[in-house]
Amino acid sequence: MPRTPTDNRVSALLRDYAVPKGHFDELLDDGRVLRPAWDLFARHAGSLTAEALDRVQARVDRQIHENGVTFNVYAAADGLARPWTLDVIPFLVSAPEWQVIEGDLRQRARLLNAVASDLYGRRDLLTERLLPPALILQHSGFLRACDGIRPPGGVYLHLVAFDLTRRADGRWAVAETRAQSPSGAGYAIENRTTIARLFPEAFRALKVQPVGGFLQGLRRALLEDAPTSGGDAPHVVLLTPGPYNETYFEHAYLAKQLGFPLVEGGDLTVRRDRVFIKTVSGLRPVHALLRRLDDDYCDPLELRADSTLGVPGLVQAWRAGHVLVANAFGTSLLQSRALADHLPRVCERLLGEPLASVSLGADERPQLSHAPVWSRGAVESRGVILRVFLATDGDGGYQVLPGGLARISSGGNDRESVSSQRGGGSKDTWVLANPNGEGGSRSEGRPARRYAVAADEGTTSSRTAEHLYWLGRYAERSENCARLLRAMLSRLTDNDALPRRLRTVVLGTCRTHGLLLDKEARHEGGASIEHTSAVLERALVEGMLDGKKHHSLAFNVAQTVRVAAAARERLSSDNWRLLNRLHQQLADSGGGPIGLDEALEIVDQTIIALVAVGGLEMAHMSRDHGWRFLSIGRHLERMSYVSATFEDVAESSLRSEPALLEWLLDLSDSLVGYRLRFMHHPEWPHVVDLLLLDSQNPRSQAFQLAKLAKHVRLLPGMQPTDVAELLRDIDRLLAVVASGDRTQGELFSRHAVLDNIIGQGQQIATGLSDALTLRYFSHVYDLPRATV
Amino acid sequence: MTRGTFYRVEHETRYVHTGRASTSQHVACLRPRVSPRLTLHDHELDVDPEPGAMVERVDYFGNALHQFEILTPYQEMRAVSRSLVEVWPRAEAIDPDESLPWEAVRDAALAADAPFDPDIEFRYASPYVTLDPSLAVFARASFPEGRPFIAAAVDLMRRIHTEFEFDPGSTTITTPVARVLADRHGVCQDFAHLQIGCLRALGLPARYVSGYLLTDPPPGQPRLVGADASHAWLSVRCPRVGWVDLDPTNNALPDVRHVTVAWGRDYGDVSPLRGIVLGGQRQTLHVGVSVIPVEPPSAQSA
Repeated sequence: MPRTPTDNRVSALLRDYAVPKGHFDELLDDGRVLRPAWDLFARHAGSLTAEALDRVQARVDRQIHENGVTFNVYAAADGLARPWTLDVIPFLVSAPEWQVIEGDLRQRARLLNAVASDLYGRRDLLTERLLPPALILQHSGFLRACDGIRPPGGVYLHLVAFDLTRRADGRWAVAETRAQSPSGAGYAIENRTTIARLFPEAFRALKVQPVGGFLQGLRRALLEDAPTSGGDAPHVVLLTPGPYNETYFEHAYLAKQLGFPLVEGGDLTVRRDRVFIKTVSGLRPVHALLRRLDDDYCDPLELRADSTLGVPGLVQAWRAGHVLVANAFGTSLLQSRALADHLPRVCERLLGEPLASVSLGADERPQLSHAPVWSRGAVESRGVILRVFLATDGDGGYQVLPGGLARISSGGNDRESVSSQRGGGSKDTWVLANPNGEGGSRSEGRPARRYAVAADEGTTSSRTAEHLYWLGRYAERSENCARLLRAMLSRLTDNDALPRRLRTVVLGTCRTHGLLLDKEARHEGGASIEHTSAVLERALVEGMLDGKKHHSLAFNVAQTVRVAAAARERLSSDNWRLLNRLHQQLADSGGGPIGLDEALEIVDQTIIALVAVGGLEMAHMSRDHGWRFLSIGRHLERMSYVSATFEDVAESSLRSEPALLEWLLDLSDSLVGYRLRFMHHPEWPHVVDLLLLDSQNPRSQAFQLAKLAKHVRLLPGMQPTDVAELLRDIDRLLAVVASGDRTQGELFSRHAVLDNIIGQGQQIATGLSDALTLRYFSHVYDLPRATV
Repeated sequence: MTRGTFYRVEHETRYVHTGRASTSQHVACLRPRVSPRLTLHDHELDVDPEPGAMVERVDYFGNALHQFEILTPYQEMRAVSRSLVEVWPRAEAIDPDESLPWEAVRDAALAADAPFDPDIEFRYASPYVTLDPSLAVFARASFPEGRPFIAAAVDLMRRIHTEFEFDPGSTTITTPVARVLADRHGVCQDFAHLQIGCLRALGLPARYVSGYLLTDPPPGQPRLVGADASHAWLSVRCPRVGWVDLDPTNNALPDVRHVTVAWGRDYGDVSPLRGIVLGGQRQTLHVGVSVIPVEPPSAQSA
């Protein structure tokens, strides 16, 4: 039993903790005493009771969910959704142990880089028979297209990871090598931000090494090694397979942390052996790319012809030395477990020194060491694999991320159950600092060179612009949909608020916005008011949560989240959390029948969340081209909505009914504004003024027109001819609005003028959407096709 | 002064699209390969529309490649490769019965003290030649114990020629070799892949050769199959003899009527013209090849 001051509390928690025979115990030594690092942790971890840990674990689960670590909007369709769980108990590695791991792996990374250099160069390892030829020449990862290509600086591996397992004797061994585009560094850093704050005292007491410097080191290396010409500022991008990929969250997270745009293959093009990104301002050169796309998918011209994810000609641009690719093409070969068996002799030959690290044999099944895991009210023991990350330090060596991604098995002892795809969890890895101050990240000592990194203004990719445009439209559409629902649901029980004779107009609006089917909207007939109200209520409430129904609230919110996910590296984490929470809330409510009260609550919450999202866009996004497209999307959508709802009332003979006008003002959130200004029941001329003509009301058509004109004029590379006609129409319309004598009701007695204002607004909305698509978006989705 | 046989070779590839292609990138493997038995006197590659850039390089197997991109929109793309080649017969005739027993060829690479042999990769499976067990079963009938390697390979070639039907349209380039074996029909690429697969399944080295055939045969000889398009055959390596070409489509040991362009593990390494086209909708491919004997250029220019 542990003999420490924490004895009682800890032993109570460890009642069920047992490590199977033959597995190393990370927590307890042979005498069942806490190992020193764990002992220190237990002393400083604060209130270690089952209740406290359960509470903390629940908070972690919620936070991870809201950060969207697990969230993959496409996952539901292809069944790839797996919860990414994070255990509250960190994984501890003592300073002396880490020193060994760090030194061993640095050598191994240098060695693998040298192996790549040999195999794609002189191939001494084959001619000197240090490697069996079949191991290389029969391996699908040996890319003959890359033969003889020497990457900039001779660096093949900028980022490399090793999966370590600890054997029964306590020695760590390399089980797997992740050489081409290792994943998990983003998760490791994200885990740290979540866990460190749970145990602030322990975190300080254990002097845990910080992980933040690692990405800065990688960023610097990529900027320094990128081949630029003519004094250009280096432009680095992160290449992702796209939002369908199961680790897309991490791609977006890393892109944000590194400050590199996140791009898909379709965003890039190769011209005259140089790589460019398609931006809304035209083609911009790219000097380096950090890829999260497998080797053979990167270039359909020279690698896999059937890949639509890659960039045709990329290998040739790389061959010509005009772009740095990290990691180099062809490095998946280094992941071969059979290769690891031969590394001792290879290391002597290439580095002239003995290999320090141990490899797990190609056929060896690892006996995982076991660590404590918090599981439903008790500490259990689970198998652990530790993924450690290294990045080039720019001087021919490697810096090590002092930490890593500890992955825990879901129950069994084998490696299979550890993969995050199979439902295992992860831990934050705490590496303790050496008491004498040695060790730690080497990159800290290097002077940081400043780079005039290409300003974002010119680098909004066409794809991102399109996603942001649609984000604006769907977010606005969702909000409009919610306001229409609220205006309806809140009036259903009150005949005064919505007298029966007005229903034809109101239901028509619900129909044109897809909230009711035609037959539902015509259900008036001779039934009693109570009866039809009940029918309407059921149709509206059931319809709003039906995600399969186009135009439903659930559908519009899901679309908003889908496009937000695709442009996620441009959104703040608060923004993302709001959307994610909203989407989850609607999905949770969709399970069973709900009442009117609950439906109204959901609608209210939806409006609050969407208003907050809109506020964040205004308050936190920098005013670059991306933001401009987002805003154009919002204003276009709002204008269509205002004019469409307005038109329904304008065409009706009942348009002077105060109840109908109140309803119309409510749809556009202008009721309060009206009352403040006019202090009496709504009258038609004033409503027209407020909703159509008043350039100070942010909901009016005139306001949208003025904003659109302003944004469109500032779009990059927009030739005046593209939209000249549209801009002239806008100006003309605004002039009509401004010149009319609104106070005297001059405009309102003449139907033709109103019809003209509404009709022109709608035409402008359609024309502008088409013009933007043609000018900025459409070419992105032109898929490449192979000819053989 | 002795002279080889001179040919003027013209290989035209046309892609006709139903829509407009906006840009495209291509890799061509079209320049005849220089060797002791082939002298390349002249070669040009003409592309229309005019490519934005054209780069020449040598690939992993030593073949000459042209890489180019077209940046102007087009509906039809045309690439014409024109060469003047001089082809030489083998210095010594091959006596198939004089080669080493096939087992000795197979085992040569396995000896513990054997030096590294770069051609060993031609014994392995490759993307277009997967080694199904049925291949070895089929091959074994030509490979009784102790039979000289070349004699056995020639017999296998003869069997493929007689037992398989040349049937354009029955297969595509991605039809697996085992499927060709089961269905007993295909075109020259399929037969080359099939025989390569059979040999590799027995542990023997074989590579894929792309090239051309003389269009019109000399008087009194039959016209060879595959002469109006690019052709494919294979080559096997035998100690002391070197590489020996075999054409299972024509049951022939290629001599001066075959013009070699390139070799590799299979079609994928040497496809004549591949590309990635952006836009263009549907496309149709038209290929024309002519190999015409010509008089040697005058002594002065030679």
